[in-house]
Amino acid sequence: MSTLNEVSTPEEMSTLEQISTWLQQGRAPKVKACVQKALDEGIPANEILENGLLDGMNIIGQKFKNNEVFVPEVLIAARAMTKGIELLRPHLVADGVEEKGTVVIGTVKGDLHDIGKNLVRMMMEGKGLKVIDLGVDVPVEKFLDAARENNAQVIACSALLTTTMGEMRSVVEAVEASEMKGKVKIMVGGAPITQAYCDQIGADRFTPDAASAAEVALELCTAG
Amino acid sequence: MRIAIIGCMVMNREISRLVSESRNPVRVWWLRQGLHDTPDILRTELQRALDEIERENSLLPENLRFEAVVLAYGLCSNGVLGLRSRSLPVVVPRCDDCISLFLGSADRYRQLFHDLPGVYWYNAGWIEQAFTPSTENYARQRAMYAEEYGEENADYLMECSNGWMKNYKHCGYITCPLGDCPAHEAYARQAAQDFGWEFTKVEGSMDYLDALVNGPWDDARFLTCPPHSRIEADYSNRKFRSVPAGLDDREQG
Repeated sequence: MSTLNEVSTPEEMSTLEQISTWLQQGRAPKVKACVQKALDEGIPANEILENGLLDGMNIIGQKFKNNEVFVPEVLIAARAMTKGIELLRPHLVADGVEEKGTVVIGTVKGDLHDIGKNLVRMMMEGKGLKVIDLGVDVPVEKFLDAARENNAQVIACSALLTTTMGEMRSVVEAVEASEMKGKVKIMVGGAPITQAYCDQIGADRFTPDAASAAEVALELCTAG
Repeated sequence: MRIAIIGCMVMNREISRLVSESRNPVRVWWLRQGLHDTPDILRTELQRALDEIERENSLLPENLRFEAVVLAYGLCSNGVLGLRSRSLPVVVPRCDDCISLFLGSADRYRQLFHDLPGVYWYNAGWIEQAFTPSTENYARQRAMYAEEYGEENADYLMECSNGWMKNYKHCGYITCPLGDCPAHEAYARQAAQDFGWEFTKVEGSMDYLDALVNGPWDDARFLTCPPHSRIEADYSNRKFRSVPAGLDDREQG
């Protein structure tokens, strides 16, 4: 891994550039410190989010798509982003920046894996969405109940195993049979999931990675 | 019938035994275990082996040519989807992965997957050829993370990569039908103890693997993908179907 100093000296950068750079390196404590510094400099929270945290995360997301970095780099960058957002959240609320929509997310019944799902959650939160995370091994009814209770626009289902991906079909059918039909969109993703499978079970959207999942969720939430 | 098998090293012992005793002359192309973690690479490696077998076939005297290629692979993270044959039928077992093959049938695997929620499987092939959860392997993995991503991120990455273990509840140890190795069972028992899983010993079976190597490849258990076709998912318990594939550059040439 190349060190930051080989690329550039953070002290010479603007605070927002420093946030982006440290975030790309997954240095959560540095990111937090720089976010605090930016707040102290009077930079609006929304600007820190967009031009600091999300800028860095977008670069990492792009590098991941291009196979230039791998899952661990994305994970530590996303964690750094989350730490930064935690610090920003009260300021975002005070500034009247509203949540852009609500997503219910979980790994389907029988499946106990959550790296991908957690990453998608963090990316969605970065986009300003409220995310209700139901965890792993989530039965169909729990997805529906949570969507109902939280007035969610999107249910996002994750599966890692070919053995469990069939559960997604049950979620689609249950939503179809409920009063949420047509109102709540269903997104599917996870290693074995493909566009062909999404089409076959009648889910609304498939996305191949966490960054595009967050983009599509935002699109679905703001479309209505 | 002369058969070419593309085998995952995780089944090396079982398939090697069956091959040595088979009435069919069989030649095996081995691929390393673990390719299912990167399904696109698995697909590329499988297609490369398939292409090599077909090229090899064209160089053999007619009476020594293969009549079918058998894949010792299930869906394996969808790595098998999209493979195509040109001149030979390709046989693939209708299952998710090697665990069905080790257990003797896909139905038995589904039953046990249901009966033992959150089960991590161990057997001889996995212990000998793969990364399996163990205290030593995790210490190695953490040291790698610390070196690569810094001490401040090592524990977090371990938690991310291995968080699933806390959700798992069972350790399924599949015995080796060729003669079980006490050291392997002890390894699996130790892992179960270290990670707080309930240890369950399950008898391995050669039935599915035997049918894979020796046939007959009944449609209930195997897809036989004819030449000039592509393997597709059908997203049912049958797992696969074949679809005609148009001429590609090589065939046109």
